[in-house]
Parts: sequence; C-alpha cells; structure tokens
Amino acid sequence: MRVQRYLFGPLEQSDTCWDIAKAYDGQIYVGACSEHTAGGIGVLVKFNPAAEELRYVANMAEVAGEKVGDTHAPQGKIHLSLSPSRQGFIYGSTHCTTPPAGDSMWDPWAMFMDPRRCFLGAHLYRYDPRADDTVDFGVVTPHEGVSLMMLDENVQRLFAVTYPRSHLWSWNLKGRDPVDLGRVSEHYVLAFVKYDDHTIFFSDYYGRLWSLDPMQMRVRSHEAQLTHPAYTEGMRNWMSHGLAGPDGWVYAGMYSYPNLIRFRPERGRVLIEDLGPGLPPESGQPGPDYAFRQGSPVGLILKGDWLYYAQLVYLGPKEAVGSYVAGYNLASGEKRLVGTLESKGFKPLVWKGVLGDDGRLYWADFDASPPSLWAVEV
Amino acid sequence: MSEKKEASFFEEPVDFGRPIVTRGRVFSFPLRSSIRPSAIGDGVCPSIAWDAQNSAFYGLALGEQAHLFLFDSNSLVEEVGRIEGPRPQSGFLVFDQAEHLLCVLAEADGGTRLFLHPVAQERRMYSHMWGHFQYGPIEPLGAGLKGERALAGAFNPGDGHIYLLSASGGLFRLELSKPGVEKVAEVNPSNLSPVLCADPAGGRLYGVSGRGRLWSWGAGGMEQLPVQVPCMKNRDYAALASCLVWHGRSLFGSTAQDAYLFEYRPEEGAMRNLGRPDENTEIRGIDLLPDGRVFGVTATPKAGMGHLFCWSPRRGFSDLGVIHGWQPVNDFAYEPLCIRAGASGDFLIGNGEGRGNVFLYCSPPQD
Repeated sequence: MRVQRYLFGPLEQSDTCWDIAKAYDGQIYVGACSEHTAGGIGVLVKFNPAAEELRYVANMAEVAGEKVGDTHAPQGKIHLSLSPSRQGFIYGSTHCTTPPAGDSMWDPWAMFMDPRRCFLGAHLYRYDPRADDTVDFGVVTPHEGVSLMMLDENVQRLFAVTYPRSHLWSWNLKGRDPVDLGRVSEHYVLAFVKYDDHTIFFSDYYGRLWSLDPMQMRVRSHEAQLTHPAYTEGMRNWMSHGLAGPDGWVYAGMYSYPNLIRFRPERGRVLIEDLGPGLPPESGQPGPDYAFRQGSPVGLILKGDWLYYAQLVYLGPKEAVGSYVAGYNLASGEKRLVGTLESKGFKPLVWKGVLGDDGRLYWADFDASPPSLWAVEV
Repeated sequence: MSEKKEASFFEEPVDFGRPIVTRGRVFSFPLRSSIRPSAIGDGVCPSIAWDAQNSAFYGLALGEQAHLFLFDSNSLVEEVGRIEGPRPQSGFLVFDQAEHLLCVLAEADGGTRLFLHPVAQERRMYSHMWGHFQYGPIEPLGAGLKGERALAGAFNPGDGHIYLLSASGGLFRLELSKPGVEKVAEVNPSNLSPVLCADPAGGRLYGVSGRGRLWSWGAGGMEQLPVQVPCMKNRDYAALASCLVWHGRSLFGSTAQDAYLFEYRPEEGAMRNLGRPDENTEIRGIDLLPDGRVFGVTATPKAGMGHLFCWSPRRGFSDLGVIHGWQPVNDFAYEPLCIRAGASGDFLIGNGEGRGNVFLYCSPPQD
C-alpha cells in the first residue's frame, strides 16, 4: 500500500472533512469544515489528481453572503452533501454546528429561538467548474443545517435531511418546489444508498431501515433494524456508510458496530447478513486487532471485486486510534488488512471515501487542522 | 491571577437558550413498543384520555391505520386494537368517566365515524404482574355523523352525555345507552375552534368561535359570552383556541394562535390573560394538576422545538425546556400535539411528525 498525503495548508481554520465526492470529469471535491473553530467557515476544496493540484474554490460565507464574525452560528460546514451531476456541476449545501465567533461551544438549543446566535439556515449552492463560479440558491432550510443530501438525476431533484429536526426534504435543482416528507429519524441521518430507481435506503438513529421512492416521493419503513452490538438496542447506530454492490447486496458500515454488514430486499422483507470481523480475533497486531473489535468501518469504496474501507478507531487506546485500510472480496468473501493509513508517524481519522479515475482510493481526514486528502494505492 | 476585564456590551453573559427539560423528567416511547411488539406503525398521536380507575392512559394513533393504545402505569405501550376503516383525516378520544371510551374519526370526505371501546375488560383482567393483556372490542357506534366533520368532543357530567362539535357548527348529543346522535344546537361556524369543555358543576358547555368569542350552551340555550380569548392586537380574526380544561371554578384555556394561556371565571365573567410561556407560536395543549399548576406543550409549525411549560398561581410561567427523553429511547418532540395529566403528576404527551411516539413527563412535586 502506498500512501500520499495532500495537506490543505492554507486552511488553518479547518479541522474536519466529512464529505468527499468525485465529479464526472474525475476531479475530486472535499468539504473542509470548521467544526471546532468558533466563527470558522466551510470551504469547498477541489483536487486535480492528474496534476496533483489543490484549489480552494468556494468559501461558504461568501456563497451565502453572510458576514464573517457576526454573532450568528456561521456557515461552518459542508456536511454529507456534495452531489456531482452529469452536467458537470457540483451541488452542495451548508451545515451548522460551528460555534459563533467568540463563543466557546456550539449550542443546538439556540438554533431557532435565539435571534442573536441562531444559525440563519442552510444554503443550497452549485459550483460550476467550467466557469469556476458558485451560484447560491438561497436558504433552503431556515434555522436548520443540511446534514445529508443527494442528487437523483432520474427525477432531477435533490433529497436532503435536516439537522436537528431530521426532516426529509426534496427540492428541484434550484432549491425550489420544496416537499417536506416528514421526520425520518430521532436524530440525524448519515447515509443515503441508491439501490434502484425506486429505492434509496437510509437508516434512522436506531439503525432502523427506511427507504425513499424518489419517483413516487414516498417514504417507507421496512420494519427491519440493522445489526447493532448486543449490549444496546441500536441507539446511535446509523447506517453511516453504504453502497450498492453489483451482486444485489447493499454493503454498509454502521456507526457503532465493528463489522461490515450487508442487506438486500427480498420478497417484501429485508435480508441482513453480518460479514463478521475484518480480522480474525487475536491476530497479533494490536492496532488493527483493537480496530476490528471496537472500531467501525467507514469510507466504503468499490474497486473491481474488492470492497475497500477504513476501519476507524476514534476513541480507544492511543496506539490504536487511527484508520486501518481493509478489503473484502465480494466474490470469494476473503478479507484482508491492506495497511495502516499514516504518513510520517501521523495517523489520520477518515470518513467518506471515493475511487479516483487514477485507481487510487481517496479519503479526507476529519480530526486534523489543517486537514488533508489521502490517496492510497492498493 | 488574571486581570479583571471591563464589562462591555459584547461580553454579556451568554444565554444558552432553553435547554432540555431538567425539572421533572421526560421519557420517550415508541408506540411500536420496544418491549412488546405492536402493529402500530408510524403516525401521529393527536388525543389522549385518562382512566383514573385503571390508572391508564388511552391514546389514539393515526397513520395509515388508526389504532387505540394503552399506556399503563408501568410505562408499557399496549396496543388495544385497530380501529377498522380507511385512513382518517383526524380524530380524538372522549372518555365517559364510567366504562366507555369513544373514538371519533373524521374522514377526509367530511363524515365522522364513531367507535366505542368498553374499558371494563382491561380494568378487570389487566394485571401488571401476570401479564393478562386482554381487551374489549372496538366496535362501530351507529352511523356516525353523516356529512359532518367532528372537531371536538366532551363528556358532560351534568347530564351524563357526550357532546360533539362539528366543523359546520353543529353541537350534537350522544347517548351511549341507545346509540343515536341528536343535534341540539348550532354554533357560529366562522373560525370555530376545535375545543369543547363542560362545567362539571353546572353542566354547561363552553367553546370558542368567531373572533375568539367564548360561547356557552346549556339551560337557556346558546349564549355568546362577551369575552374573547387573548390574542395579539388586531389579530382577533384569527383567534383560535387549542384547549379548554375545567379546574375548580375556572376554565383554563390556551390558544393556537400567538400561544396565550388564559383563565376564565364564568361566575365573575372575568377573562384573565396569563401570558405567553415561551417563544413558540402555538400552545398545542394544556392540562392541570389538582394543586392548580397548569402544564402545557408548545410548538412552532414546521420550525422550532417543542417545549414544555408550567404555570402556577404562585410563580407564574416556567419554560421547562425542550421535550427530550433519553430513555428508553432517545427522542425529541418537535411537534407535540396534546398533553394529558394522569396520576402522581405524570403527563403523557402525544407527538406529531409521523414518528409514532409518545413522551411521559413526570413533573416535579412542587413548583
């Protein structure tokens, strides 16, 4: 495994990257957020893999037309919302949870009722790489952030989940014609998985499986709960990563569960399979050993027959904290540890991942300031 | 030692808004109980009744199907049964304080279906220790209200009948012993509020219509009272009450527009505006404890967070905070729809948002 790190040097205020997306022209986009820096602003970063060049293409305060450093919760984040279109655009929306300038902490209770410190709302925007221009379509969710968004090109509509109310919304590509499909989770939704033209899967806070039919604009509960540790009832166990495989299964990583799982609809029900630990227990490698027992699989990437992911340890023994790249062969079921993600002794924590046109796996880290983009050759 | 700074406007203490409820405790329950499975799916809970004899709440869950559920003193959600028929538009429960629970379901086409559920079976058989979960049937009651969409209902202890108020202003009397619905009066249907309340002493019925005017019906017929529910200046055309509850010699009420709490004393003809509890724009429901404390839930449609409040004659309003429970499941009530007092200072809160969930609030013993 060869690892290359691309540091977002100028973004000293940025500390987290939650979303990464590959545009149809092969460029890679990352949402660099300021989650822990009061008054910080989210920045859209573009990476050209061929030239190995980073560009900082849009500042969310400028996009939203908001004054930097005022008393409001700033446009500090681009959460899981980057959505490339076949026309070459990148759609995205802004998100909150960054404290206002001068405050020491983010206060979700001030979201709606505190006129001075509230978040003014999430903006929907579109970046056009040909014109190098970002168009703001205005506030789509007043006083709420957009924690998750995806584009369904069949219906030419965007689907998004808000924070904190967890309502599922749909808009057209200009943020107009809004449809509120209701509340879909106790708290947050972290991943959409498009399964077919009529099915976009997601889960709620307890890992209960839901789907959205973008054609009919209907939401359906599948009365199925995805796998969770035995000692909980599934609390804080969203499907946080997922993709539809070529074999009809959806492969998923859960927020609070260490094993990769998969599920598929069959005869009106949902079959769920636990694919087991990524490494055999007691394999003799302390870091990965801990990770595959206590961590969680993140940043799923499909490359050929192999499903790659990073086994993340965020909280745990210091020597185990990090991201461990692993692979699962869809055909044979073989699992292997590819290696530890690190550069010069620094072990990043990563979230979403994409496959580059150059065959490398890309992840961006969410706990470093400034953050970096990581490219991995396997 | 750090140097003392000069205070300035920009260094004012930070007000962290209104946090979650910390006085008293909130528990959150899915109606598809995590303890005992039920067929109740996603939906809203717009109405709750309390059976003091059995120490049980009854609730109505409306989604693709309508269900009646029981929430007992052990905090178990039990599905009493499905109420047959197509998906209703709205609905509510009326308890006759004796042995029957009336389920009123208003249809999208304007009609209203009535169902009766006898509670004697669960009073007799319901055993928390042994798990004798047996319920009486939920049976259609007569032909319902043809062409009339019921808005509200109340049991009148004065004459032992249940009364229903329809959107067209009809006031109907229902005798459970010989099923039949009789129209007894007409109310001004303009801007009619979905509230109805009976004075337990005198047996008069009270409601709100028009520009927030209280009306009263009883011996002597219909009477428009010369009092209005509180509202902001020049907004009486939109005045809408959301709840009326009788307590002692007073009628306590809340408004769905502008979120006012009020007290009306019929003997004195005095309307008292008690004010607004918090920043939300609607009071969705209120109920009282025997000590005179009013507890209520507020919300702002499609925005904001559901709050609980308390008003006491001694201390006035307390915004108790955002309705959030950690146990047995972690959940928020952003759109509470109703609240009903039970025993020991407990309240059950029905939630909207289609999540099929309720919240139990255990209030503090003193304000």
